[in-house]
Amino acid sequence: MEGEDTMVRMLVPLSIFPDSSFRWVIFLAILGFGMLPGWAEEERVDLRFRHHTSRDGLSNDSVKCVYQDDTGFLWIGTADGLNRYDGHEFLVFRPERKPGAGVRSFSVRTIHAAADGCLWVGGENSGFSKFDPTTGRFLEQHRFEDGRTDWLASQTVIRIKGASEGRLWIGTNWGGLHRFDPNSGAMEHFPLREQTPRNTNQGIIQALHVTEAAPEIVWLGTGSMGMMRFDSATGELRRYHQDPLSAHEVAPPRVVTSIVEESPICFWITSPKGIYRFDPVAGRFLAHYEFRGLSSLVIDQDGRYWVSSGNSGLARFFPGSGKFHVYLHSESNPQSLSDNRIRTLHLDRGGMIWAGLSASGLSVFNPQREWLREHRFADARRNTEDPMIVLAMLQDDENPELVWLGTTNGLFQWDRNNGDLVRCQHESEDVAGLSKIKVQNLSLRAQGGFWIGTSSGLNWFDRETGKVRPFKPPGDEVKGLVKGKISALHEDKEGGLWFCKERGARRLNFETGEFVSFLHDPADPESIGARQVNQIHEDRAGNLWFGHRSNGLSMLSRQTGKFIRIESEPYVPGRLSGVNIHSFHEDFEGGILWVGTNLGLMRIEIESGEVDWISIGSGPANVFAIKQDEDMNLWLRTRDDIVRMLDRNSANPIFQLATGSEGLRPGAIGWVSCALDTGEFLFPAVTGVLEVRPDRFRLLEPPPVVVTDFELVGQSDQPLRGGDPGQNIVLNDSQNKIMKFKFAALDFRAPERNRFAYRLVGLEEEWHYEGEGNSATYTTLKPGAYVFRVKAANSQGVWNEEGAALAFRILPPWWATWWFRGALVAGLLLMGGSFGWFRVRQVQKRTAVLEVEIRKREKLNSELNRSEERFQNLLANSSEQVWCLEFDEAIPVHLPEEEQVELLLERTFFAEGNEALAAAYGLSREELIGSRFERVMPRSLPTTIPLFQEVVRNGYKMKDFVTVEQAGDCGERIMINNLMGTIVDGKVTRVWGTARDITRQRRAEELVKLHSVTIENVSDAFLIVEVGVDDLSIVYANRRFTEITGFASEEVEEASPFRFLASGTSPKVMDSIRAVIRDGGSFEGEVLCDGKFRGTFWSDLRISPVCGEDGKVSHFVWIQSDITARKEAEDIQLNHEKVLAHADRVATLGGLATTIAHELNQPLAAIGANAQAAQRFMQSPNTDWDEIREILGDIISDNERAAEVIRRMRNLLKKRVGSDESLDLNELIQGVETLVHSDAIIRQIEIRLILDPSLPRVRAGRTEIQQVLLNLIINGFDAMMDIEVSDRILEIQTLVPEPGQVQVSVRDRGHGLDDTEAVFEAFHTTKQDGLGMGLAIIKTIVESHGGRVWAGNSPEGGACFSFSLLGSEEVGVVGEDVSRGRDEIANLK
Amino acid sequence: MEAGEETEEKGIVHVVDDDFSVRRGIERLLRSAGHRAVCHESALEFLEKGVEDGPVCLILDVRLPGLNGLDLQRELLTRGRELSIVFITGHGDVPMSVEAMKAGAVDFLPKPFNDEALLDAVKRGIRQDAKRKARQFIVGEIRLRLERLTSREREVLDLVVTGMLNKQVGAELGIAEKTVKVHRSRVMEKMEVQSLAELVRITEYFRASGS
Repeated sequence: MEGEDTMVRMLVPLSIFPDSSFRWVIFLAILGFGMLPGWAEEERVDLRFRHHTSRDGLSNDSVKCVYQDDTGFLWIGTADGLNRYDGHEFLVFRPERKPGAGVRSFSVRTIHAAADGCLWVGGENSGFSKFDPTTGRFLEQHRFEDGRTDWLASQTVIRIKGASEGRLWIGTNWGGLHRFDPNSGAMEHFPLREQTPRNTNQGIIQALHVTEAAPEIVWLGTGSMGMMRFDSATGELRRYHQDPLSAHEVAPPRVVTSIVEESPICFWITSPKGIYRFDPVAGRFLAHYEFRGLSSLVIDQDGRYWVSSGNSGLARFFPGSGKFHVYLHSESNPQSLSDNRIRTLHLDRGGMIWAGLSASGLSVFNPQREWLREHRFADARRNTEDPMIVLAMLQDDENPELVWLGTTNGLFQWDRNNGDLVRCQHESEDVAGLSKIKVQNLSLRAQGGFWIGTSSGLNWFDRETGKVRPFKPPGDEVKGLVKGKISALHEDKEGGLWFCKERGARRLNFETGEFVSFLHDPADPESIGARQVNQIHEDRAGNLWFGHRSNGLSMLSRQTGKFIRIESEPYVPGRLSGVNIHSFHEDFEGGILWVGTNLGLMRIEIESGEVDWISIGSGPANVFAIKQDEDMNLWLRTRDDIVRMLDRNSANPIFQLATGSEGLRPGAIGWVSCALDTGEFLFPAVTGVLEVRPDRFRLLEPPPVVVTDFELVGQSDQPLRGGDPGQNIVLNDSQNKIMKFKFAALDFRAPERNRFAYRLVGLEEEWHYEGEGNSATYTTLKPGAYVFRVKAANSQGVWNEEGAALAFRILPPWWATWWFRGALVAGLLLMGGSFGWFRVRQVQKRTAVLEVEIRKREKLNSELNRSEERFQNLLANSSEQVWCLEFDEAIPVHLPEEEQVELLLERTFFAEGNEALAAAYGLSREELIGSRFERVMPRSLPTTIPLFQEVVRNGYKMKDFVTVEQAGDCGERIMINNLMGTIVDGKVTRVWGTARDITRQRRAEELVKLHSVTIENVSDAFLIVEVGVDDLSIVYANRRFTEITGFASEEVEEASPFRFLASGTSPKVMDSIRAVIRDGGSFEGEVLCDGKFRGTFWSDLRISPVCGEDGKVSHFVWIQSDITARKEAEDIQLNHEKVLAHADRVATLGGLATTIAHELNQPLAAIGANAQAAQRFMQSPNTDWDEIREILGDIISDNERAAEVIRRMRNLLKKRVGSDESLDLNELIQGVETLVHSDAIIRQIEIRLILDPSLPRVRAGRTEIQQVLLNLIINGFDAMMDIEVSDRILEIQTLVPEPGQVQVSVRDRGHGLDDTEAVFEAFHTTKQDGLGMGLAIIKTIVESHGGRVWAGNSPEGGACFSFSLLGSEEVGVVGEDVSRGRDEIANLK
Repeated sequence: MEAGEETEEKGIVHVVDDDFSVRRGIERLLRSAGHRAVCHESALEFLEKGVEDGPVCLILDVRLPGLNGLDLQRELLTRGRELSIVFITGHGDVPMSVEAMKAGAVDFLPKPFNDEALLDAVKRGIRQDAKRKARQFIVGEIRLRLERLTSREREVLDLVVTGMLNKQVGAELGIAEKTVKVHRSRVMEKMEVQSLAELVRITEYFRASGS
């Protein structure tokens, strides 16, 4: 399967050791290594490489060195520039150039971090410099100075390593070794001269190594003198030569490129000739493993050895056997190494290995991916004819290495050992055999073999013949029942076979031949819960669980033989939330059934039927499959990830995004899974199958978090630009505008899936969960001290809660400073003092004034009388009923309640009442006044006595009480009343009151209440949106809205409804929604919405305006219904259609192969003839160079033409990529015509193009429309093969049937169609060898573009196929494009 | 072009191919080898323009719009215009090449072709055409002479060349041996031959040419 780029080299150590004791040591060492788990298995791991090049911001593609500093930043030295990488971006640094020094590249060969946080950077032709990462400045630059002997002896510094007392070892090219003291600036020089007097070679130092045990000793790897050891204490320099006396010793390498210390007694030395093992104590080379061009070696965190080569890629090295597994660049795999030329390898702290490439930037991979393997079947397509999607999986019960795969394209036997994929044959080899059929599900069969449910019926695998047979049930009458799509399949413990089709489940008993149907009956609560069954599970107690597609699940109890339904109630905790049941898993510890649904994971206690919604809050939304490992942890296959779930029985289980760390999204394909005997799990993926080994999975450490940037947007002076957050940042008022923070988590596993949360302490209490974005912006803060805090999670979802912080202070503006305020207070005090003095004077004045006042009071009395009159008027005209009741005799309030009531009934009459009151009872005011109260409220009325009791109880003082009265013939009326008794000497003399008729108001309120209850309980989400001055705000959201979005109602209120639309909604839809809001119209369409927990989901959205009294739109009603489940089904459908359409294109092009060969041969022939002619011309003595030039020009244009043919063909073969584009159909037709041009000539068919130049452009998928045209044209050709040559004319016409539409017709002169409707049905064909899919696909394509396709017979005879599409607005450019298209075609000819 | 006789010897090559750039490439290749080339876009154009007298070779694309290469070959044969044809094709198949070769094509080359192969085929075609032209010339000459004979002389000639003696000829035709002798000497004179052997040779040549 992946053998192509594999090379296994088998090499034994080249040495045979001189003395036997030594041999023993090595033997034992190798034996010991062999025991290590990482070494025991020489299994090949598939690696996925991620690439970073100059296109991602790297300063140069030639990478020289990679280094990780203590914070965790990755530093990359390139041929031009130093780069810092934080997982998001590359920051480039170059030293400032002196004016006039000329532009020179800054090539970095080595990076070393000093204790003070600065970096020492050495490079080619630039000596070495100190670099301050907090400021991004190069502080000191030390270069070679001619004539100075106590200074750097070479322009180029290759290695820098720390020496004792803060000094540095500096290895140079041709200048030997130096020791530099940064404090004093002193430089010591140690030339490594060879022992010949004339040799000026002072040594190329390619590798420097200092051990912790002996810091005074430097190990040197040189470019020509091999390995050396320098003792700085004694000045002794030792070189490791081959011992001339020992013929058996390993010859030491002359060139050493790096030294890797594995232990104090074992160094690994790399040399272009391969790897050497070196014993530094004995000073001997022990073994040599040959690997040409070797450049670098790292030992990863699990002790695996990885080597790189300057020309042959990456390899894993097995010291035990001396084998190398080589990983090379592969054109066809974008996740392979991007280049085979590797200069250096670096292991980062997260365990990732970075390969610095000579010319292609960086490739990074994770060496620890043993837990996850991707089995790609894409390569195997050659054997299987067509792409496929895995729908069912089953491990063979006899040979555990075999797995059976049910796919959209038949049944396959997959050998996990060697990756072989064998298609399984059907017993009868007819067209309806298994090869063309979707295999939906597989289930073991007790009698051997297994059951196969397909899209067209039930089959079984016969182990004896190795073939698939259709299942023939015992009785004839049930034969039809095993036909049709089998959606679920299960053989129960008692030997009954369950299978589900539409309308419910069926069971067949083999022994008795008895056949029972369990059909869904909406009226019978004890029947199966829904028509569609996705999954069947038999629990240990023998109960059968049926997972439905649309309505939760049903359980067939073994004890009662009856169904119990668990219906779904989405988003209700403690209920079955999921609607669509994807999978079941019975917990290994028993008693618990785990259910994967479209709304997350459910936990059902089998005994009690109690349901828990596990996914609420942080959990995954869409659980396709569930598996459990040996440690009892659950593994969930979700839409985007494979998630490990710990603490499954606790209230807050932990979810870890296992595939997150691999940067892998398995894709929304398939909800099957398979647990193998050996503990691995299989899950389907877009490209094949993912294999998970739970025991190998490893959790990452929380990532280091840093604030990388603090930017004041739009301002020149920046407080922190990629620098150190430790500094004291103070901003003045003018800088306090827009602040932007950038941050990073220095975990490079899958940095794009690292997640962040931030908070500005001093401003906010809550963390913002930012997701994958890595910046935060604040505007205009109040003066004060703030701390910006950020925390991050790595790609597995492990949070670093501590995070990083950046403190800063904002100074107040001048008018808010303490001195300004102080001055203000002082001023106020002064003013207050003078005011007090002023007051004393005022009082004296007022006494005099009072006397005048008294005189005025008398005048006021007469005013009062007038006021009384006004009040009477008011009373008379008030719409409020006003009354005054008096009693024949005052009623003592100390009497018992009953007596008071009795007296009230007897003695009360109306003493006063206004018009409104009288009108209410249908009387005149005169009639009313003086009349008995009984008249309007008789004793017999059931409400009267309770009312009086209430009045007495409240001491003749009541407010806002409601009464229901019977008044005249106005019917029942509801009044709201106020009343107040006048009590004099313990007796009530009169009662005043008002009343208002609220009958209508009350009715309206009741109606509103009914409406709101209705709205609250409808299954659609419902918003009422108020139209503000320039925005919208939600004033009401029903319960369903909060359920489907997951936002609490407080979060929803006053927000804009746009807040809940996801950014993925197409701009066109957004525009039309905005237009509707602006113009007050209605909208209906599908939108993508944001959920708080579940991510984005699809909704059907309807917006209708509500007009206020002024006729303007005051509100919008916004109704959403969740259509995610439907969309998912559509997506899967669409995916299948795409696959089918692609297959059809491949088939069509296959048919055109010879003509395409001709199209290619033409330019090739011309190129050949021209080139050969040129050769001959040039041999003649007087060559005509103009002619040669012309020939070359022709060759180039013919070459273009050949390339164009291939491009067109490839475009057609491509699966649909990208979205619709603006197309000129005329141009497209001309392009397709060139493809079929030759075919037309062979078949002697004339193609006539009748193109309307005013054709508007359309928005459509280019490939699809090409396919439609190609299919129609080829169909037309085929239709004319048996008619006279002179009649073989195919017309392709474009026209504008009505404004804004585009129509294309393809007319042939064949025999026409018998049935113009049926032709578009799938599998309808009139051809001998036709599949009958072409026109069905055309119909799908055209309709998916919102167009229409139809067929007819033209009056001249022959068939005419037409399709129409909606034009887009851009009309103007068409003419130009047509002429361009023509030119293009002219060039082709 | 260089010397006239050179052109004469190399002959004229007609190229019929609907593809402009292929046509031009072949034209150049031929020119580089010293041939004169005349290009035609279609079979009809070639038929309309006709060909020169000198030795001629035709490079013909099998796949042409309208009248295709094989049709043209057939058409030329029915018109009695025999030509040396080198077929070229972008997707040659076996039956097509067999048909073309049976109908007398010089060669059948798949595109893209080797220059040597094409030029070699052209050379052969021209040589063949030159020979054919020469033979046609001789046959024409003989025909002219034969036309001068009377019907009796013709009868005598037919019998004499079968190797019959005068006496046998006379018996066959029912005329006297002496008369045969007179006829025979006239025949020898009109046919401008010196000996019976020579007479036999030219009549054989004439018959072999199928006239």
